[in-house]
Amino acid sequence: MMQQNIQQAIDSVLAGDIDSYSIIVERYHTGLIIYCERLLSDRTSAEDAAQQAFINAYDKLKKFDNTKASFSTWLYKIARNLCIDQLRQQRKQSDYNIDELPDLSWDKDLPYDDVESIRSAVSTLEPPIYAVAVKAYYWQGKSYKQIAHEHNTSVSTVASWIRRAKADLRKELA
Amino acid sequence: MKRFEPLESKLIGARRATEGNDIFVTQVMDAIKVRAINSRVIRTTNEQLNKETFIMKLRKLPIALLVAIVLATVIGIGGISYAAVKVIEAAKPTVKESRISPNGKTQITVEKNTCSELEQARSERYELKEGVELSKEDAANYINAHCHLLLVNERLDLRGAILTSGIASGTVTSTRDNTISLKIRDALYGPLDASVSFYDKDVQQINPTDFKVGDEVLAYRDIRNISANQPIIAVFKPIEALKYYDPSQQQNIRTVKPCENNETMDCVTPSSYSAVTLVAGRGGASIPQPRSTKEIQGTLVEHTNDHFILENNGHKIIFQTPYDVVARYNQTTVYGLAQYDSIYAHTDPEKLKIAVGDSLSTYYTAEANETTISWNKFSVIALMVEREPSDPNVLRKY
Repeated sequence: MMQQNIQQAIDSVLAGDIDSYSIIVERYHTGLIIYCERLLSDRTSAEDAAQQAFINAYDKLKKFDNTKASFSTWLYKIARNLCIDQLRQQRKQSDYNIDELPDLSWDKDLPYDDVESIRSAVSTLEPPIYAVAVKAYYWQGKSYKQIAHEHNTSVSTVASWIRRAKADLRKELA
Repeated sequence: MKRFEPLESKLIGARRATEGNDIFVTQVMDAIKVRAINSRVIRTTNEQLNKETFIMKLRKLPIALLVAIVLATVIGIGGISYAAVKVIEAAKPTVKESRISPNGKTQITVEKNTCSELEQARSERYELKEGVELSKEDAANYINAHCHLLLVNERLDLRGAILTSGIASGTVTSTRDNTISLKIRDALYGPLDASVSFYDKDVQQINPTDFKVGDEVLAYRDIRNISANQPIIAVFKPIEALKYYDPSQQQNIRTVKPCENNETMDCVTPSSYSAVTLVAGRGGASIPQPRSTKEIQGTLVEHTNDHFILENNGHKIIFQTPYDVVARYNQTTVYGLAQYDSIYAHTDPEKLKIAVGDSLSTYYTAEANETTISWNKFSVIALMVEREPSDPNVLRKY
Protein backbone atom coordinates (compact mmCIF):
# COMPACT_ATOMS: atom_id res chain seq x y z
CA MET A 1 0.00 0.00 0.00
CA MET A 2 2.79 2.38 0.93
CA GLN A 3 4.63 1.70 -2.32
CA GLN A 4 1.48 2.49 -4.24
CA ASN A 5 1.06 5.74 -2.33
CA ILE A 6 4.63 6.65 -3.13
CA GLN A 7 4.09 5.85 -6.80
CA GLN A 8 0.97 7.98 -6.80
CA ALA A 9 2.93 10.81 -5.26
CA ILE A 10 5.63 10.40 -7.92
CA ASP A 11 3.03 10.48 -10.66
CA SER A 12 1.47 13.62 -9.22
CA VAL A 13 4.83 15.34 -8.99
CA LEU A 14 5.63 14.38 -12.57
CA ALA A 15 2.35 15.93 -13.63
CA GLY A 16 3.43 19.17 -11.96
CA ASP A 17 1.92 18.87 -8.47
CA ILE A 18 5.04 19.77 -6.52
CA ASP A 19 3.30 19.55 -3.15
CA SER A 20 2.90 15.81 -3.58
CA TYR A 21 6.67 15.51 -3.18
CA SER A 22 6.21 16.20 0.52
CA ILE A 23 4.67 12.72 0.83
CA ILE A 24 7.98 11.29 -0.35
CA VAL A 25 10.09 13.52 1.88
CA GLU A 26 7.92 12.77 4.91
CA ARG A 27 8.16 9.04 4.23
CA TYR A 28 11.93 8.74 3.85
CA HIS A 29 13.65 11.65 5.56
CA THR A 30 14.40 10.22 8.99
CA GLY A 31 15.94 7.04 7.62
CA LEU A 32 17.87 8.89 4.97
CA ILE A 33 19.36 11.33 7.46
CA ILE A 34 20.45 8.48 9.74
CA TYR A 35 21.88 6.60 6.77
CA CYS A 36 23.94 9.63 5.74
CA GLU A 37 24.92 10.29 9.35
CA ARG A 38 26.41 6.81 9.57
CA LEU A 39 28.43 7.37 6.41
CA LEU A 40 29.60 10.88 7.17
CA SER A 41 29.86 10.67 10.95
CA ASP A 42 28.42 14.16 11.16
CA ARG A 43 24.78 15.11 11.64
CA THR A 44 24.87 18.50 9.94
CA SER A 45 26.62 17.15 6.85
CA ALA A 46 24.18 14.26 6.86
CA GLU A 47 21.17 16.57 6.84
CA ASP A 48 22.74 18.56 4.00
CA ALA A 49 23.41 15.41 2.03
CA ALA A 50 19.92 14.05 2.66
CA GLN A 51 18.39 17.33 1.60
CA GLN A 52 20.47 17.37 -1.56
CA ALA A 53 19.49 13.75 -2.25
CA PHE A 54 15.82 14.69 -2.13
CA ILE A 55 16.46 17.61 -4.46
CA ASN A 56 18.47 15.49 -6.90
CA ALA A 57 15.77 12.83 -6.82
CA TYR A 58 13.18 15.50 -7.57
CA ASP A 59 15.24 16.74 -10.50
CA LYS A 60 15.67 13.24 -11.89
CA LEU A 61 12.25 11.90 -11.01
CA LYS A 62 11.25 11.49 -14.63
CA LYS A 63 14.09 9.02 -15.04
CA PHE A 64 13.05 6.87 -12.11
CA ASP A 65 12.00 3.43 -13.37
CA ASN A 66 10.01 1.41 -10.86
CA THR A 67 10.61 -1.77 -12.85
CA LYS A 68 14.33 -1.59 -12.06
CA ALA A 69 14.33 -0.62 -8.41
CA SER A 70 12.07 0.57 -5.66
CA PHE A 71 11.99 4.28 -5.05
CA SER A 72 13.71 3.90 -1.69
CA THR A 73 16.58 1.94 -3.26
CA TRP A 74 16.96 4.60 -5.93
CA LEU A 75 16.83 7.45 -3.40
CA TYR A 76 19.35 5.80 -1.10
CA LYS A 77 21.72 5.25 -4.00
CA ILE A 78 21.56 8.95 -4.81
CA ALA A 79 22.29 9.75 -1.18
CA ARG A 80 25.08 7.23 -1.00
CA ASN A 81 26.79 8.73 -4.04
CA LEU A 82 26.53 12.21 -2.55
CA CYS A 83 28.04 10.98 0.71
CA ILE A 84 30.85 9.20 -1.09
CA ASP A 85 31.59 12.35 -3.09
CA GLN A 86 31.70 14.32 0.11
CA LEU A 87 34.01 11.85 1.79
CA ARG A 88 36.31 11.98 -1.20
CA GLN A 89 36.34 15.76 -1.17
CA GLN A 90 37.24 15.69 2.48
CA ARG A 91 39.58 12.77 1.90
CA LYS A 92 37.93 10.98 4.80
CA GLN A 93 37.16 7.35 5.24
CA SER A 94 33.71 6.36 6.33
CA ASP A 95 33.42 4.27 9.47
CA TYR A 96 31.30 1.97 7.35
CA ASN A 97 32.27 -0.25 4.51
CA ILE A 98 30.78 1.64 1.58
CA ASP A 99 30.76 -1.42 -0.62
CA GLU A 100 28.61 -3.27 1.87
CA LEU A 101 26.01 -0.64 2.53
CA PRO A 102 22.59 -2.26 2.66
CA ASP A 103 20.97 0.11 0.23
CA LEU A 104 18.49 -2.56 -0.80
CA SER A 105 17.09 -3.24 2.63
CA TRP A 106 17.69 -0.24 4.80
CA ASP A 107 14.33 1.50 4.57
CA LYS A 108 11.63 -0.80 3.32
CA ASP A 109 7.97 -1.08 4.17
CA LEU A 110 7.21 -3.53 6.92
CA PRO A 111 4.05 -5.63 7.27
CA TYR A 112 1.50 -4.10 9.63
CA ASP A 113 2.00 -6.81 12.27
CA ASP A 114 5.75 -6.25 12.32
CA VAL A 115 5.26 -2.52 12.70
CA GLU A 116 2.91 -3.01 15.61
CA SER A 117 5.18 -5.48 17.40
CA ILE A 118 8.19 -3.21 17.01
CA ARG A 119 6.26 -0.17 18.23
CA SER A 120 4.91 -2.15 21.16
CA ALA A 121 8.38 -3.34 22.08
CA VAL A 122 9.73 0.19 21.93
CA SER A 123 6.89 1.57 24.05
CA THR A 124 7.51 -0.96 26.81
CA LEU A 125 11.24 -0.34 27.10
CA GLU A 126 12.51 0.20 30.63
CA PRO A 127 13.40 2.71 31.82
CA PRO A 128 10.93 4.78 29.76
CA ILE A 129 13.61 7.27 28.77
CA TYR A 130 14.98 4.56 26.46
CA ALA A 131 11.70 4.58 24.56
CA VAL A 132 11.70 8.37 24.44
CA ALA A 133 15.21 8.40 22.99
CA VAL A 134 14.50 5.70 20.40
CA LYS A 135 11.30 7.38 19.25
CA ALA A 136 12.99 10.78 19.07
CA TYR A 137 15.93 9.49 17.05
CA TYR A 138 14.40 6.91 14.72
CA TRP A 139 10.87 8.25 14.31
CA GLN A 140 10.95 11.98 15.01
CA GLY A 141 14.19 12.63 13.16
CA LYS A 142 16.00 14.30 16.06
CA SER A 143 19.75 14.25 16.47
CA TYR A 144 21.53 12.97 19.58
CA LYS A 145 22.41 16.59 20.28
CA GLN A 146 18.77 17.71 20.13
CA ILE A 147 17.66 14.86 22.36
CA ALA A 148 20.43 15.63 24.82
CA HIS A 149 19.44 19.29 24.90
CA GLU A 150 15.76 18.48 25.46
CA HIS A 151 16.61 16.20 28.38
CA ASN A 152 19.35 18.35 29.81
CA THR A 153 21.96 15.66 29.49
CA SER A 154 25.02 14.87 27.40
CA VAL A 155 25.23 13.43 23.88
CA SER A 156 27.14 10.44 25.22
CA THR A 157 24.32 9.71 27.66
CA VAL A 158 21.80 9.73 24.81
CA ALA A 159 24.07 7.41 22.83
CA SER A 160 24.18 5.13 25.83
CA TRP A 161 20.36 5.12 26.18
CA ILE A 162 19.93 4.19 22.56
CA ARG A 163 22.67 1.56 22.64
CA ARG A 164 21.09 -0.14 25.67
CA ALA A 165 17.60 0.22 24.19
CA LYS A 166 18.73 -1.55 21.03
CA ALA A 167 20.28 -4.35 23.07
CA ASP A 168 16.96 -4.83 24.88
CA LEU A 169 14.99 -4.66 21.62
CA ARG A 170 17.23 -7.25 20.00
CA LYS A 171 16.31 -9.69 22.76
CA GLU A 172 12.63 -8.73 22.75
CA LEU A 173 12.25 -9.03 18.99
CA ALA A 174 14.45 -12.09 18.48
CA MET B 1 34.50 -1.97 10.33
CA LYS B 2 31.03 -0.97 11.48
CA ARG B 3 28.01 -2.55 9.85
CA PHE B 4 24.40 -1.44 9.67
CA GLU B 5 22.20 -3.72 11.63
CA PRO B 6 18.74 -5.08 10.71
CA LEU B 7 17.24 -3.78 13.96
CA GLU B 8 17.80 -0.18 12.90
CA SER B 9 16.22 -0.91 9.55
CA LYS B 10 13.18 -2.30 11.37
CA LEU B 11 12.99 0.67 13.70
CA ILE B 12 13.02 3.08 10.79
CA GLY B 13 10.48 0.96 8.94
CA ALA B 14 8.15 1.10 11.96
CA ARG B 15 7.94 4.87 11.87
CA ARG B 16 4.50 6.34 11.16
CA ALA B 17 3.99 8.92 8.44
CA THR B 18 2.73 11.42 11.01
CA GLU B 19 6.06 11.32 12.86
CA GLY B 20 9.16 13.08 11.67
CA ASN B 21 11.18 16.24 11.49
CA ASP B 22 8.74 18.82 10.15
CA ILE B 23 11.41 21.49 9.90
CA PHE B 24 13.53 19.33 7.64
CA VAL B 25 10.55 18.46 5.45
CA THR B 26 9.59 22.12 5.19
CA GLN B 27 13.14 23.11 4.27
CA VAL B 28 13.32 20.51 1.51
CA MET B 29 9.93 21.48 0.14
CA ASP B 30 10.77 25.19 0.28
CA ALA B 31 13.98 24.53 -1.60
CA ILE B 32 12.17 22.52 -4.24
CA LYS B 33 9.42 25.08 -4.63
CA VAL B 34 11.92 27.88 -4.93
CA ARG B 35 13.66 25.95 -7.66
CA ALA B 36 10.54 24.80 -9.43
CA ILE B 37 8.31 27.81 -9.17
CA ASN B 38 10.06 30.94 -7.99
CA SER B 39 13.50 30.93 -9.45
CA ARG B 40 12.46 29.18 -12.63
CA VAL B 41 16.04 28.08 -12.91
CA ILE B 42 14.88 24.99 -14.67
CA ARG B 43 17.32 22.17 -14.81
CA THR B 44 17.17 18.91 -16.61
CA THR B 45 20.05 16.73 -15.62
CA ASN B 46 21.49 13.94 -17.66
CA GLU B 47 22.29 10.91 -15.59
CA GLN B 48 24.62 9.59 -18.25
CA LEU B 49 26.67 12.75 -18.29
CA ASN B 50 29.75 12.68 -16.12
CA LYS B 51 32.23 15.34 -15.25
CA GLU B 52 34.84 14.30 -17.77
CA THR B 53 32.51 14.20 -20.74
CA PHE B 54 31.13 17.60 -19.91
CA ILE B 55 34.55 19.13 -19.60
CA MET B 56 35.56 17.45 -22.81
CA LYS B 57 32.56 18.98 -24.49
CA LEU B 58 33.59 22.41 -23.31
CA ARG B 59 37.14 21.95 -24.45
CA LYS B 60 35.99 21.08 -27.93
CA LEU B 61 34.44 24.49 -28.32
CA PRO B 62 36.35 27.34 -29.96
CA ILE B 63 38.27 29.55 -27.57
CA ALA B 64 36.38 32.52 -28.90
CA LEU B 65 33.26 31.12 -27.35
CA LEU B 66 34.73 31.00 -23.89
CA VAL B 67 33.43 34.23 -22.56
CA ALA B 68 31.63 33.87 -19.31
CA ILE B 69 33.35 32.48 -16.31
CA VAL B 70 31.50 31.01 -13.47
CA LEU B 71 33.08 30.68 -10.10
CA ALA B 72 31.84 28.94 -7.08
CA THR B 73 33.24 29.39 -3.66
CA VAL B 74 34.84 27.54 -0.86
CA ILE B 75 32.53 29.03 1.68
CA GLY B 76 31.63 25.95 3.58
CA ILE B 77 28.12 24.83 4.23
CA GLY B 78 28.24 21.72 6.31
CA GLY B 79 31.82 21.20 5.28
CA ILE B 80 31.11 21.16 1.57
CA SER B 81 33.34 23.09 -0.78
CA TYR B 82 32.18 24.54 -4.04
CA ALA B 83 34.08 24.28 -7.20
CA ALA B 84 35.02 26.68 -9.90
CA VAL B 85 33.00 26.43 -13.05
CA LYS B 86 33.67 27.61 -16.52
CA VAL B 87 30.68 28.16 -18.75
CA ILE B 88 30.62 28.99 -22.39
CA GLU B 89 28.62 31.37 -24.44
CA ALA B 90 27.55 29.84 -27.68
CA ALA B 91 26.21 31.95 -30.47
CA LYS B 92 23.24 33.98 -29.37
CA PRO B 93 20.01 32.40 -30.54
CA THR B 94 17.94 34.09 -33.19
CA VAL B 95 14.20 33.81 -33.43
CA LYS B 96 13.32 31.93 -36.56
CA GLU B 97 9.56 31.78 -36.25
CA SER B 98 6.80 33.03 -34.02
CA ARG B 99 3.32 31.57 -34.09
CA ILE B 100 0.23 31.08 -31.99
CA SER B 101 -0.09 27.49 -30.78
CA PRO B 102 -3.39 25.56 -30.87
CA ASN B 103 -3.91 26.35 -27.19
CA GLY B 104 -3.50 30.07 -27.81
CA LYS B 105 0.05 30.55 -26.56
CA THR B 106 2.77 32.38 -28.45
CA GLN B 107 5.41 29.87 -29.50
CA ILE B 108 8.79 30.84 -30.83
CA THR B 109 11.36 28.75 -32.62
CA VAL B 110 15.04 29.66 -32.35
CA GLU B 111 18.27 28.51 -33.89
CA LYS B 112 21.86 28.54 -32.63
CA ASN B 113 20.69 27.86 -29.14
CA THR B 114 23.04 27.72 -26.15
CA CYS B 115 20.86 25.00 -24.68
CA SER B 116 21.97 22.67 -27.45
CA GLU B 117 25.02 22.00 -25.29
CA LEU B 118 22.74 20.31 -22.80
CA GLU B 119 21.37 17.09 -24.15
CA GLN B 120 18.37 16.92 -21.87
CA ALA B 121 17.45 20.57 -22.25
CA ARG B 122 17.99 20.73 -25.97
CA SER B 123 15.08 22.40 -27.65
CA GLU B 124 14.44 24.90 -30.35
CA ARG B 125 10.89 25.70 -29.34
CA TYR B 126 9.75 27.88 -26.48
CA GLU B 127 6.40 29.16 -25.32
CA LEU B 128 5.54 32.48 -23.73
CA LYS B 129 3.19 32.76 -20.82
CA GLU B 130 -0.17 34.09 -21.92
CA GLY B 131 -0.29 37.87 -21.71
CA VAL B 132 3.48 38.24 -22.00
CA GLU B 133 4.74 40.04 -25.06
CA LEU B 134 8.40 40.11 -25.97
CA SER B 135 10.25 41.46 -28.97
CA LYS B 136 12.20 38.87 -30.94
CA GLU B 137 15.44 40.28 -29.57
CA ASP B 138 14.26 40.20 -25.96
CA ALA B 139 12.93 36.68 -26.36
CA ALA B 140 16.30 35.55 -27.72
CA ASN B 141 18.10 37.24 -24.82
CA TYR B 142 15.86 35.65 -22.20
CA ILE B 143 16.38 32.24 -23.78
CA ASN B 144 20.13 32.79 -23.87
CA ALA B 145 20.15 33.73 -20.18
CA HIS B 146 17.92 30.78 -19.38
CA CYS B 147 20.31 28.40 -21.11
CA HIS B 148 23.27 30.02 -19.39
CA LEU B 149 21.64 29.31 -16.02
CA LEU B 150 21.07 25.73 -17.11
CA LEU B 151 24.75 25.41 -17.92
CA VAL B 152 25.75 26.89 -14.60
CA ASN B 153 23.47 24.55 -12.74
CA GLU B 154 24.55 21.55 -14.75
CA ARG B 155 28.18 22.28 -14.06
CA LEU B 156 27.66 22.95 -10.38
CA ASP B 157 25.64 19.81 -10.01
CA LEU B 158 28.46 17.75 -11.40
CA ARG B 159 30.67 19.08 -8.66
CA GLY B 160 28.19 18.16 -5.97
CA ALA B 161 27.29 21.71 -5.09
CA ILE B 162 24.15 22.26 -3.13
CA LEU B 163 21.72 24.24 -5.17
CA THR B 164 19.14 25.02 -2.60
CA SER B 165 19.73 28.52 -3.63
CA GLY B 166 18.22 31.75 -4.74
CA ILE B 167 19.75 33.95 -7.37
CA ALA B 168 20.72 37.55 -6.76
CA SER B 169 22.72 40.21 -8.55
CA GLY B 170 25.75 42.00 -7.21
CA THR B 171 28.82 44.09 -7.86
CA VAL B 172 32.48 43.28 -7.33
CA THR B 173 33.83 45.72 -4.73
CA SER B 174 37.43 44.53 -4.49
CA THR B 175 39.79 41.82 -5.67
CA ARG B 176 42.80 40.54 -3.78
CA ASP B 177 44.91 37.44 -4.29
CA ASN B 178 42.43 34.73 -5.03
CA THR B 179 39.50 36.40 -3.32
CA ILE B 180 36.93 38.86 -4.53
CA SER B 181 34.50 40.85 -2.41
CA LEU B 182 30.95 41.44 -3.47
CA LYS B 183 28.00 43.61 -2.61
CA ILE B 184 25.00 41.42 -3.25
CA ARG B 185 21.59 42.92 -3.95
CA ASP B 186 18.87 40.49 -3.08
CA ALA B 187 15.28 41.67 -3.14
CA LEU B 188 14.15 38.67 -1.13
CA TYR B 189 16.74 38.59 1.63
CA GLY B 190 18.32 42.01 1.56
CA PRO B 191 21.85 43.18 0.81
CA LEU B 192 24.90 41.16 1.71
CA ASP B 193 28.62 41.80 1.74
CA ALA B 194 30.43 38.64 0.81
CA SER B 195 33.89 37.43 0.03
CA VAL B 196 34.36 34.68 -2.48
CA SER B 197 37.50 32.64 -2.76
CA PHE B 198 38.43 30.84 -5.91
CA TYR B 199 38.59 27.13 -5.75
CA ASP B 200 40.00 24.45 -7.95
CA LYS B 201 41.30 27.03 -10.35
CA ASP B 202 43.92 24.70 -11.76
CA VAL B 203 41.32 22.31 -13.04
CA GLN B 204 39.05 24.93 -14.43
CA GLN B 205 41.73 27.40 -15.55
CA ILE B 206 40.12 30.15 -13.58
CA ASN B 207 41.97 33.42 -13.52
CA PRO B 208 41.10 35.72 -10.61
CA THR B 209 41.75 38.71 -12.79
CA ASP B 210 38.70 37.77 -14.80
CA PHE B 211 36.81 39.73 -12.19
CA LYS B 212 37.35 43.47 -11.88
CA VAL B 213 36.02 46.03 -9.43
CA GLY B 214 32.66 47.23 -10.66
CA ASP B 215 31.79 44.06 -12.56
CA GLU B 216 28.14 43.14 -12.40
CA VAL B 217 27.79 39.52 -11.32
CA LEU B 218 25.14 37.00 -10.43
CA ALA B 219 25.29 34.88 -7.32
CA TYR B 220 23.53 31.93 -5.83
CA ARG B 221 22.76 32.22 -2.14
CA ASP B 222 22.02 29.34 0.13
CA ILE B 223 18.46 29.85 1.23
CA ARG B 224 17.89 26.79 3.31
CA ASN B 225 17.79 28.75 6.51
CA ILE B 226 16.30 32.16 5.99
CA SER B 227 17.18 33.23 9.51
CA ALA B 228 20.86 32.74 8.79
CA ASN B 229 23.08 35.02 6.79
CA GLN B 230 22.76 33.06 3.58
CA PRO B 231 26.26 32.44 2.26
CA ILE B 232 27.18 32.73 -1.37
CA ILE B 233 27.72 29.41 -3.06
CA ALA B 234 28.44 30.56 -6.58
CA VAL B 235 29.28 33.73 -8.45
CA PHE B 236 29.30 34.10 -12.18
CA LYS B 237 29.35 36.72 -14.88
CA PRO B 238 26.21 37.16 -16.92
CA ILE B 239 26.39 36.84 -20.68
CA GLU B 240 23.29 38.98 -21.10
CA ALA B 241 22.08 42.08 -19.30
CA LEU B 242 21.06 41.26 -15.74
CA LYS B 243 17.39 41.89 -16.41
CA TYR B 244 17.26 38.81 -18.62
CA TYR B 245 18.14 36.61 -15.63
CA ASP B 246 15.32 37.97 -13.49
CA PRO B 247 13.52 34.86 -12.18
CA SER B 248 10.13 36.50 -12.45
CA GLN B 249 10.83 37.14 -16.13
CA GLN B 250 12.48 33.78 -16.73
CA GLN B 251 9.34 31.99 -15.68
CA ASN B 252 7.50 33.58 -18.58
CA ILE B 253 9.37 31.31 -21.01
CA ARG B 254 8.92 27.56 -21.18
CA THR B 255 10.64 24.89 -23.17
CA VAL B 256 8.37 23.02 -25.56
CA LYS B 257 9.28 19.42 -26.38
CA PRO B 258 7.47 16.32 -27.64
CA CYS B 259 5.42 14.72 -24.88
CA GLU B 260 6.95 11.66 -23.24
CA ASN B 261 6.08 8.64 -25.40
CA ASN B 262 3.61 10.77 -27.34
CA GLU B 263 6.04 12.23 -29.83
CA THR B 264 3.42 13.88 -32.05
CA MET B 265 2.12 16.00 -29.21
CA ASP B 266 3.66 19.06 -27.60
CA CYS B 267 4.39 19.39 -23.90
CA VAL B 268 6.07 22.06 -21.80
CA THR B 269 8.48 20.87 -19.14
CA PRO B 270 6.72 19.88 -15.90
CA SER B 271 9.11 22.03 -13.91
CA SER B 272 7.85 25.14 -15.68
CA TYR B 273 4.35 25.03 -14.26
CA SER B 274 2.67 23.86 -11.12
CA ALA B 275 -0.40 21.69 -10.90
CA VAL B 276 -3.26 20.64 -8.69
CA THR B 277 -3.98 16.94 -8.69
CA LEU B 278 -7.55 15.88 -9.50
CA VAL B 279 -6.99 12.14 -9.50
CA ALA B 280 -3.97 10.01 -8.68
CA GLY B 281 -3.72 6.29 -8.49
CA ARG B 282 -5.40 4.48 -11.37
CA GLY B 283 -8.66 3.99 -9.55
CA GLY B 284 -6.95 1.78 -7.01
CA ALA B 285 -5.76 -0.74 -9.59
CA SER B 286 -2.29 -2.22 -9.37
CA ILE B 287 0.54 -0.57 -11.22
CA PRO B 288 0.93 -2.12 -14.67
CA GLN B 289 4.26 -3.85 -15.27
CA PRO B 290 6.31 -3.13 -17.19
CA ARG B 291 5.41 0.49 -16.95
CA SER B 292 5.50 2.63 -20.06
CA THR B 293 4.26 6.03 -19.13
CA LYS B 294 2.74 8.39 -21.64
CA GLU B 295 2.26 12.04 -21.07
CA ILE B 296 -0.34 14.47 -22.37
CA GLN B 297 -0.83 18.09 -21.63
CA GLY B 298 -4.13 18.65 -23.33
CA THR B 299 -7.00 21.02 -23.67
CA LEU B 300 -10.17 19.78 -22.01
CA VAL B 301 -12.72 19.24 -24.79
CA GLU B 302 -15.55 17.72 -22.76
CA HIS B 303 -16.25 15.96 -19.46
CA THR B 304 -19.18 13.74 -18.52
CA ASN B 305 -20.07 11.15 -15.89
CA ASP B 306 -18.12 8.45 -17.68
CA HIS B 307 -15.29 10.15 -19.56
CA PHE B 308 -13.38 13.26 -20.41
CA ILE B 309 -11.49 14.15 -23.56
CA LEU B 310 -8.19 15.96 -23.96
CA GLU B 311 -6.86 17.35 -27.22
CA ASN B 312 -3.28 18.13 -28.19
CA ASN B 313 -2.11 19.04 -31.70
CA GLY B 314 -5.35 17.68 -33.18
CA HIS B 315 -5.05 14.33 -31.36
CA LYS B 316 -7.96 13.47 -29.06
CA ILE B 317 -7.59 11.03 -26.18
CA ILE B 318 -10.68 9.75 -24.35
CA PHE B 319 -10.22 8.94 -20.67
CA GLN B 320 -12.91 6.67 -19.22
CA THR B 321 -13.90 7.52 -15.66
CA PRO B 322 -16.41 6.15 -13.12
CA TYR B 323 -17.62 9.67 -12.34
CA ASP B 324 -17.16 13.20 -13.61
CA VAL B 325 -13.68 13.90 -12.25
CA VAL B 326 -13.80 17.55 -13.27
CA ALA B 327 -17.16 18.21 -11.63
CA ARG B 328 -16.02 16.50 -8.43
CA TYR B 329 -12.85 18.57 -8.36
CA ASN B 330 -14.88 21.75 -8.84
CA GLN B 331 -17.20 20.82 -5.98
CA THR B 332 -14.62 19.70 -3.44
CA THR B 333 -10.92 20.09 -4.09
CA VAL B 334 -11.01 23.65 -5.23
CA TYR B 335 -12.45 24.86 -1.92
CA GLY B 336 -9.73 23.16 0.07
CA LEU B 337 -6.91 24.81 -1.82
CA ALA B 338 -6.73 27.93 0.30
CA GLN B 339 -5.85 25.81 3.32
CA TYR B 340 -3.82 23.34 1.32
CA ASP B 341 -0.70 25.38 0.95
CA SER B 342 0.44 28.95 1.29
CA ILE B 343 0.86 29.31 -2.47
CA TYR B 344 -2.91 29.16 -2.78
CA ALA B 345 -3.53 31.65 -0.01
CA HIS B 346 -3.75 34.67 -2.31
CA THR B 347 -5.68 32.92 -5.04
CA ASP B 348 -9.45 32.92 -5.32
CA PRO B 349 -10.33 29.19 -5.44
CA GLU B 350 -13.21 30.00 -7.77
CA LYS B 351 -10.66 31.03 -10.37
CA LEU B 352 -9.12 27.56 -10.27
CA LYS B 353 -12.37 25.81 -11.13
CA ILE B 354 -11.94 23.77 -14.28
CA ALA B 355 -13.90 24.46 -17.44
CA VAL B 356 -13.79 23.22 -21.02
CA GLY B 357 -10.78 24.78 -22.70
CA ASP B 358 -8.48 24.52 -19.66
CA SER B 359 -5.16 22.68 -19.76
CA LEU B 360 -4.82 19.39 -17.93
CA SER B 361 -1.73 17.28 -17.48
CA THR B 362 -2.03 13.51 -17.41
CA TYR B 363 0.19 10.47 -17.19
CA TYR B 364 -1.12 7.05 -18.14
CA THR B 365 0.01 3.66 -19.34
CA ALA B 366 -1.33 2.36 -22.62
CA GLU B 367 -0.41 0.54 -25.79
CA ALA B 368 0.85 2.54 -28.75
CA ASN B 369 -1.84 4.47 -30.61
CA GLU B 370 -4.50 3.66 -28.01
CA THR B 371 -6.90 6.60 -27.92
CA THR B 372 -9.37 5.38 -25.31
CA ILE B 373 -7.79 4.99 -21.91
CA SER B 374 -9.54 3.01 -19.19
CA TRP B 375 -9.68 4.19 -15.59
CA ASN B 376 -7.17 1.69 -14.25
CA LYS B 377 -4.48 2.95 -16.63
CA PHE B 378 -4.37 6.46 -15.24
CA SER B 379 -1.43 7.60 -13.25
CA VAL B 380 -2.57 11.09 -12.58
CA ILE B 381 -4.75 13.90 -13.84
CA ALA B 382 -3.85 17.42 -12.82
CA LEU B 383 -4.88 20.97 -13.56
CA MET B 384 -1.93 22.97 -14.86
CA VAL B 385 -1.49 26.26 -13.01
CA GLU B 386 1.02 29.08 -13.14
CA ARG B 387 1.81 32.31 -11.37
CA GLU B 388 0.34 35.59 -12.55
CA PRO B 389 2.99 37.61 -14.40
CA SER B 390 1.92 40.72 -12.52
CA ASP B 391 1.69 39.10 -9.06
CA PRO B 392 3.74 35.97 -8.33
CA ASN B 393 1.70 35.35 -5.18
CA VAL B 394 -1.39 34.64 -7.21
CA LEU B 395 -1.97 31.47 -9.20
CA ARG B 396 -4.03 31.22 -12.32
CA LYS B 397 -4.95 28.43 -14.66
CA TYR B 398 -2.25 27.71 -17.21
